[in-house]
Amino acid sequence: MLEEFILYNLDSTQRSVFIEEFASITDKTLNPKSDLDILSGGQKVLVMCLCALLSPASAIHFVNLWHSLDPTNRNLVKNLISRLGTGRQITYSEDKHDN
Amino acid sequence: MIIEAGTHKIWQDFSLQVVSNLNFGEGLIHLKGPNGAGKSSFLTQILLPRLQNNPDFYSLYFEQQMQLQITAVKAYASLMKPRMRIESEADAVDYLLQDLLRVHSAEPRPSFILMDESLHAERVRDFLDKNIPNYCLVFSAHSQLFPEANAIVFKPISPSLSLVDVVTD
Repeated sequence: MLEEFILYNLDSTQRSVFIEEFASITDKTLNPKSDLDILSGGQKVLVMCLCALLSPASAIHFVNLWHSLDPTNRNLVKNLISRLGTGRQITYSEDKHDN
Repeated sequence: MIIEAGTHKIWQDFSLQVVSNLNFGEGLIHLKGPNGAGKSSFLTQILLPRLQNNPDFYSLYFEQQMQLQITAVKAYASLMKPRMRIESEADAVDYLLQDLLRVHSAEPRPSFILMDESLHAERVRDFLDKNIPNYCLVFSAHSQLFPEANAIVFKPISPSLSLVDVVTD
């Protein structure tokens, strides 16, 4: 988890917010030493989404954000984006390899 | 191939309770269930090890996030002859399918293809229909990719236990 915190440039305050938000959604408490391989695919998407939203980035582009999420988690992520993404440019794209 | 009914310990704090024997034969099998219910764990911790330890079958696994798999396929493809350049996920998928076809053509065996929420399910199925008889495609997805597929449902009972059962409608 530490690599994600560094990659997304999360300071100590934002790391604490991340841990609280993730635990409130999944009932799982992560820390900087947590191994993300134990998370489900949907939970990994939540990690990525939360890290991006808590980062100082002024623009965020999500690729294939919805594909691995069940309906409940899609709504949760939409909620997170509307709550934490205000004032930033947020865009989306979906790959479609089967065409 | 049969996965026996009973409790299968996946991680120290997570188990899957298989309600009745699960029979994996020819055809399409859709693993359904919410995030965190154990679909990926079932593929990687139960099904894949059984297949890889059985010389009577061929198995091919497409992981959920293919970044590491692409790196491995790139390295493999650059060393084998003829050398191939892998540029994308689609290239890696095609390379692995062609590899399956090569070994299957030399010595046919029942083939199991496992896909974890892959973006390539339709192209893979199309390839299998055209080239590989006696295949079993096991895929997890949150959408109804192939309505004719048999379904296995993962239902979380607690954070440490999910039920796994076939759908019989």
